[in-house]
Amino acid sequence: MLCILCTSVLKAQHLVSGLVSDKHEPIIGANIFIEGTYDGAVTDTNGYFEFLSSTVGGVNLTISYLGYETKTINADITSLAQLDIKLRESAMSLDAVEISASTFKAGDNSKLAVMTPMDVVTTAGSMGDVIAAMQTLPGTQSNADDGRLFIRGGDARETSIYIDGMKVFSPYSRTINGTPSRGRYSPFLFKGVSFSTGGYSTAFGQALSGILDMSTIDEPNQTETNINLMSIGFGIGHTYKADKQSISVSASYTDLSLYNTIVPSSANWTNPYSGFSGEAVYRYKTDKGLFKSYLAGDLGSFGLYTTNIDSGADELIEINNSNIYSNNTYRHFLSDQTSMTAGLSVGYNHDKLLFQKINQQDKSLTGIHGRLSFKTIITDHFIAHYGIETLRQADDISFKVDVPVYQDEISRDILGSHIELDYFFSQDLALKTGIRAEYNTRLDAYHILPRITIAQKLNDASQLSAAVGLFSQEVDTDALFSNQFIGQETAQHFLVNYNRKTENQILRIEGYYKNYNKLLTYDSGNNSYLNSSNEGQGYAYGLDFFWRANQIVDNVDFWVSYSWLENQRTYKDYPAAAAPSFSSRHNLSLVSKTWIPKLKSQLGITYRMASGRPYENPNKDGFMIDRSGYYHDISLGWSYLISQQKIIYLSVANAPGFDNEYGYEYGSVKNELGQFPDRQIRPYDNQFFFIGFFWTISQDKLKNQLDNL
Amino acid sequence: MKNTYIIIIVTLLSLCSLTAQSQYEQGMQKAFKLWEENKSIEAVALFERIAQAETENWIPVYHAANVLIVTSFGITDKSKREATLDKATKLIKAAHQRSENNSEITTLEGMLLTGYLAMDPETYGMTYSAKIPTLHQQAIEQNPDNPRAYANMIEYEMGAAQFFGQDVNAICQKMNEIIPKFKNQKVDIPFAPSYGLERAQQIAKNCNE
Repeated sequence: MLCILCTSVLKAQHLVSGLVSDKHEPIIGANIFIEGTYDGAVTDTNGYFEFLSSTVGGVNLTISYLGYETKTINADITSLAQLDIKLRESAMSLDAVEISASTFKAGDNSKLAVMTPMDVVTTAGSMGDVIAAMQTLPGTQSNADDGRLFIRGGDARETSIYIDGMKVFSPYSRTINGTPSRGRYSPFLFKGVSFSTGGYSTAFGQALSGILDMSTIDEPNQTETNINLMSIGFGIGHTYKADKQSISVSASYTDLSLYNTIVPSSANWTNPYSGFSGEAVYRYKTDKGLFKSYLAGDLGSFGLYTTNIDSGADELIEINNSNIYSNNTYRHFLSDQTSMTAGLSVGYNHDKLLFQKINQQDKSLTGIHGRLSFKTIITDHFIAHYGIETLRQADDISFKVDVPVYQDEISRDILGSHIELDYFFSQDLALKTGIRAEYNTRLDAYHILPRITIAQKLNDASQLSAAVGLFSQEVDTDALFSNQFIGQETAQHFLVNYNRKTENQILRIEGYYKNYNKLLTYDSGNNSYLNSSNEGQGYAYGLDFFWRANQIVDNVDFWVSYSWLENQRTYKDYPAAAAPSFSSRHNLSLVSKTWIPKLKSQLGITYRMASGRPYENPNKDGFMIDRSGYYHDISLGWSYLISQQKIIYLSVANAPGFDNEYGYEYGSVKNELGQFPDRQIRPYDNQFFFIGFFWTISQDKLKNQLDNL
Repeated sequence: MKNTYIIIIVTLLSLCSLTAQSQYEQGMQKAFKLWEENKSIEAVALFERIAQAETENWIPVYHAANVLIVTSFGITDKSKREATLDKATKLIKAAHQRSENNSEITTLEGMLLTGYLAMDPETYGMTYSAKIPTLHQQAIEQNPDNPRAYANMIEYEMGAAQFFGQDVNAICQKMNEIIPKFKNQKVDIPFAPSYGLERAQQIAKNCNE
């Protein structure tokens, strides 16, 4: 009897069977099983499955397939026959429509990424500067005399720069007109960047034109020491990596005097540039999170004689800059669905400008940014991002002529919150709606900034998306000193984006219209910021084109960026609407790289062109009607890999020596011909040469272990 | 008579539990057989089914990931290849959770990153080319007798040497020294990884030529 009982338990089996399909066709190779048992099967070429199970009663039948949402059916085993199972494509799968297609991404996530981390370092002409590498993307201006990011007819202030989502208060190195500034931070710190030239997420505020968010490396690869020797200085760094934590420290010294003795500059330098900088990063991995803390500081100085256009006298300008920046974030996974990020960044920047050793101007900035944000995956089709933040900035300015003559300070607080919902109607259609609310304590004013993006997949490779949104930002700090009740400037973005990505090619075309309101205006004259208010307005529209192709020619990788821009604005002391002096109608970048295995070398060439920029000629009727000449640059780079640990890098900016000009400046007094005297603005250094040797010393226990065998 | 019943019951019960135990062995054997027959989808599916039933055991998870990684090298469609590797990534993460500081899983993770690197060197080159040797090193530290950790490391070093135009043969010769490690390995857990000898021998044989 017992024998029969036992075998009957073993043999009483039910047939589980059915068909698995998505909307259109059968799914082949789906895995179907009863949870907690071995009983299951894989669908055949017709999407059909069947298997026997000796389980009794209520069971969970699970159906899973790559790229589809896993489905679980809870039922009595006897009812699980001749099933008709429909699986839904997962919105988070690789094939789903990309809702933020308008953002350029560089990094490990290859979905719609236009650049790799390596590109930042190896793009000829970028000289290892993240900011300069971004300027080979469309929507940006080639303002080689400035170096900062100018996006779609906006000035450099309109682009906000972040590290791990936390504000960077002084992202650019201090320079003087005519020499380009660089990003302060080493490209080797970052694993990826996200760069948006319009319609960006409500997570970001205080930016009218663009966002650059750089993400730092989560975990260094190994314990190593880095040494670099360059024609402009040297640096040393060390990374120590333990199981759960790691620490990196680095220091570098830059001095351009040696370089300037070999390659003379047209500027009359007393000190071309010397500076010291140091960085430290600490990372700690918890069971469910990651803490990162980054500290950077630098001290720099330079001095030069410039000729006064009116008097003809040489005047000495000396500048000292000191900067400290700290960025701390902690990311924590509260559950499988919800992650939290808490961040705090603090920055201090001080500029001392000494004119003719007598007049001294001091400017300092202290900024604090705190943020708490969350991401919740509500379902496979619905994701929410939300958070709160606080931004405080205090500025101080003073003048001294032996004794203090003027001092002023201003501080402001902005409290912000945002919520953004990503909803995927299907794998092909998605909607992002977000709203950002900001409270400006100085003005006692609220700003409500809604933004919306819709994206539709056209076929396997291409998609179309459109975005509209409202953006707002404080006016230039200098203007606030004279009138602290000036309101924020606003912009509306409208854009349509077409994106096509195949295995070796990316094509991206984006058309946009941007409308500016409440721009800062003030009376013209020497006493600047007189009668300042928010009466200015403007617009910018244009087309951005990007095409990147790999391997069309063996081992050759290239991309083309072209931006067309039409813009005008009435702001500052403009008597009439005009395109501002930092904007040019056409910008073109051609970047190409090739790896030559025989030479163990990567060669890079970058061509950049920009049409003439407007400048005001007081000797002519009309306002800002003159244009400078076209700008051209061909930069070359050569990386030679001696071994995996040693690299030599050589590069030349403006190799053919194009004679570039950036317009004209005019004296304030008319000469005997009744004309204001003019002077061409030209780069101090028309060409730039760079040689560097980069050496990584890792402990390489590996090799030792091999040798010990 | 009573005793006879008890004996019968005990025998029957142990028979039942015997069948239950061998269910794991049968399942694993069947999965390996499917893989041998080139039915990798079915093999992965079965390994996954076993893995979700045996919630503590890292071995079926390991093999599911291993099959995915090995097959990924032969997939030509990039998005499919990436999806396969992404799935393997999830499985390796699960395997690490089931068994911490496991040299075999760490070795497989090195293999996984090599899979990404081979698929898209442009994207993954900078980060992974440094991370892979670190994983191999870690795997050797976790178990200095794991022959697969050494063999994968040597193969990777050979690839790198080839890329940089360095002497491949000197590194290749090291493979001969690994072969005893394969022969001496003790596999005390059923179905724990023990493969790799044939490939190592093949490489060692070819490097002299």
